[in-house]
Amino acid sequence: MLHEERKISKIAEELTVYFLAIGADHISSEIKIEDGQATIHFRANYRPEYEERLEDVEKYLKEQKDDGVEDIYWELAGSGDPGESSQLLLVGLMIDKAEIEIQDGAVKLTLSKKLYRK
Amino acid sequence: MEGKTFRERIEGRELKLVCSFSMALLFLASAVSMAEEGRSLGEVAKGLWVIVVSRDTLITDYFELVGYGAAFVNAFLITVLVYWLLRREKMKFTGLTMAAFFINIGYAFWGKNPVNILPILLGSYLYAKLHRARLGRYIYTALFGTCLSPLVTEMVFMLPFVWGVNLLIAVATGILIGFVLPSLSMHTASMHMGYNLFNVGFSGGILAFVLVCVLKAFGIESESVMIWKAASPLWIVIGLYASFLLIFLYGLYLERGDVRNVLKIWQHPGRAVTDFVLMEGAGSTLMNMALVGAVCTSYICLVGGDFSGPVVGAILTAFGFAAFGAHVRNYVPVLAGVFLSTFLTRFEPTTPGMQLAGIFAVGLSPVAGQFGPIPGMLAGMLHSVIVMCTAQMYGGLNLYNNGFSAGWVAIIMVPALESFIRDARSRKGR
Repeated sequence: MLHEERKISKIAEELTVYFLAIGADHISSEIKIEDGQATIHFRANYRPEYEERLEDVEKYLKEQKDDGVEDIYWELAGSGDPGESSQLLLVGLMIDKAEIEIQDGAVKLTLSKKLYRK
Repeated sequence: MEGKTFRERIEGRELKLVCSFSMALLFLASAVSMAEEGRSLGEVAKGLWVIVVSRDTLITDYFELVGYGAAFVNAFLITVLVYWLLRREKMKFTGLTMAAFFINIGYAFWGKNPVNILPILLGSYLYAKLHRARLGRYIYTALFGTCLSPLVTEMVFMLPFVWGVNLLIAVATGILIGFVLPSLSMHTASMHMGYNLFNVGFSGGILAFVLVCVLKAFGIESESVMIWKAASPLWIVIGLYASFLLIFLYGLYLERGDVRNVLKIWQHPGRAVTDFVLMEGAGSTLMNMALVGAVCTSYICLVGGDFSGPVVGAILTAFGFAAFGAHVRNYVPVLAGVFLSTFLTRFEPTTPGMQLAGIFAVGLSPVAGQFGPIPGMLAGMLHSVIVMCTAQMYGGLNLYNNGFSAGWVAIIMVPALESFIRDARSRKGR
């Protein structure tokens, strides 16, 4: 196990930090692990004035996985600062797939990550 | 293929072309400098042998040690090896790839050669195999981790056994370094919270310090050296500016003449993982890299510094990291801090270590990017004094001495800045 469980919790943490910074006051997340894959279901609202920041969510979470970056920097996930999107990019580089739905002032994310086992 | 523009044909390979172009430039520089020095191929081969069998402790300038021709050939060989590894592992070329590529070219002028980096690369390969992963998973740590290659060379000289035994132990130590660094580097990133762009320089420094302490316990000590080419050949200065201009124009072409994305790059604080290639595209990143390279070159010209191997190497490193966190807006305050510190301390801007500190302060750019120019300048000032002490901690055996120092600056400054500046900002926002 190469810290896979901790990486999953860091991803959820980063998403929480990011959405708190854009005014979310209602956040929920659920993590399911089955068949060697983790699925993170995440839902949060946001303040309308930060709507353009959702473009970053869409752009960075859909970035192609890069395990070279993941294995050096994954501990930085969850340390994002308000107004900063680089850690969101890090999440995008750590996951295999992202589905994003935006409706009624809320964002629903479904992120999948294959768990690396020796 | 027919009917496609050049821009469309190279889509997705823009950065690979830059790397190939850099290899071609190094090859050209090797030929030009060999002609300039009147050296034959045999003499250059002899020079390469001297590089391989010499101590590579900080600061060993290959321009001074063996001349420009052999130094450029050494850089060319390292570049070919690094490029081959990246292609072999099918790495996607991103900002971090550019940083890893150019830092290795840079240090091929002072400390790395195709022989002393091999045991460390092998160690990382074995680490990957042990974890049943491909090398690509750890390739960045492996490539950055070659900063400890002088330790491999130095072991051959320092150990008290016969040459063959020394060599075996040196290779084993290199493998051990390559084996330990991947896991160590992941933890050091969270120590400085990504505010030091030279993360492996920091983890490498810690490991070098530990290894040197072990050696000292057995009465084996390494001494720093100072081999430095105090010269500024015009052809190197022109070569650097011309290369940066070409890269800028290439980036401008890729961006269809639009520079707005460069301004977007300048809005990023730059903390790891700020990969400009992924965030703002290859074209604008290349323009940003060219601008940072030009700023570094101009700084050395303005302070009357030397275009020695280490300085050229440092400029190329800063150029590479301008794809991964550094830009003119967050770098200039830190650079200014290093320069201003020379009015307060016993160091001159032209002191070799201070010239390098100015360029390598680029590693602390995220501090200025996140907290503003004044904290950035303070970070530069603190870096300039810490870096002059740290090399002694490991006998000059960590090539990324500035990365080690930058790590300490970030660890010391960031918590205080976070508590004061962020508090002040949030109070203002209320």
